[in-house]
Amino acid sequence: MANKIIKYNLTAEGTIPTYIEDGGYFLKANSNASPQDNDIIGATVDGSSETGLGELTSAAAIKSYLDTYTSDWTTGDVDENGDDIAFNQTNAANMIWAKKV
Amino acid sequence: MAKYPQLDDCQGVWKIKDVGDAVKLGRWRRAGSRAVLASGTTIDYITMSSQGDASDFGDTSSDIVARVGLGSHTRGFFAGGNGQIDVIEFITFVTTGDVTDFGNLTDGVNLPAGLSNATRGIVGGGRDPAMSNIINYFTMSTAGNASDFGDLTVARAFMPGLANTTRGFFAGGFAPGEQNVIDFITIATTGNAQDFGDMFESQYTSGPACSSTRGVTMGAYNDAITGTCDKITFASTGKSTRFGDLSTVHMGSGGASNSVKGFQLGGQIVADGAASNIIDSIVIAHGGTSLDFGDLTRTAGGKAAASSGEHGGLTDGY
Repeated sequence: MANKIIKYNLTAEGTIPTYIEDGGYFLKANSNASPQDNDIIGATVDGSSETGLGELTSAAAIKSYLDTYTSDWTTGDVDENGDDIAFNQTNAANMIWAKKV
Repeated sequence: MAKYPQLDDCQGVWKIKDVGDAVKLGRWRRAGSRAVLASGTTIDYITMSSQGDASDFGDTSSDIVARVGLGSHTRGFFAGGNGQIDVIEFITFVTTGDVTDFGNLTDGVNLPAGLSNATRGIVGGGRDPAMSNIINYFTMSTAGNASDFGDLTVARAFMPGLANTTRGFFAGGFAPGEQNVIDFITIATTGNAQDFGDMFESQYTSGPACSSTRGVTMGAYNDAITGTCDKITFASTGKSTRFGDLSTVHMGSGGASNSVKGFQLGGQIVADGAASNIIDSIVIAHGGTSLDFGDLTRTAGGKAAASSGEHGGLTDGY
């Protein structure tokens, strides 16, 4: 058995799709109406064939996708100089890919 | 049909039995009810019905920030913290003693959101160090470890938790990037959160305050706005509306309430980044600009944890 790392939307009722085991990561705004106005990354339940808005098949693929919309993101923390710490796409991609079983 | 007054709408005719039940079950508003703020090892408290400076309450177990506070009628809880701490500890509002160990979260996080009704404490989101979608719950009267409740719709941190007796709400947050999502849970059940609506603007760092009907976020921050307050009406899904402003532009303030007033405690002053000792109050039913209430015993930066025993999650009809 295996799961998939995919992009998905919330349902029209605003609930997490039943095929998502662990989701809610790294939202990308889209043109849909709320509550489906973000493309979200998540891991499907084990054995699910759902691919949502598309499967991300490797850590590199996740990073490439994140690179398209997160270049100006910060982590929300500051370093010892008080400067914003930039979002690390590689670390984020590896964190998501670690949810692949 | 008799309409029994809410704690935040005290009028009308009461049955003596209902008053007695409210007192016995700890649901009666006490004039001396307290809000506490934990920052590092220090805990301050204020008497919410009496304007004035804070006093020293006791100490936490260690020098922790970036944790969250929530409260039952009798206990104030602090959970999580920097370094992805999973500790839950509590104080008893009527004492002024140090914290007591309660149990552990299922996952250590900093900057989670907290909320509660009279029975359950809820801790959701935070950073572990990645953004977490995990919602934990525990029974506040019985020491023990938290259990998994479900998932947030969006993994995120640094957002206020709001509640009435039935529903809990998570408003905005950082995912990274400021978020506009409001999602909700039914506190007495378990399960994943559902979308409730959107914040007026994407934001994070706000402190929470709530009555039984309305939730207020105090001290929002994003690249364009600072120090604003929004409100959501628990009974109707939809977008939050602008409610008012803090008297001094803060982010990351602790938030507490007695169902009538919301209290902003400490936080980081946006203009110079300094930690603040300011305590402001705002009337939940009215809004506007917050008013000076008093000062903390020391400054508390943008990641302190506040708790009170009379918030909107505890006031259903009393």
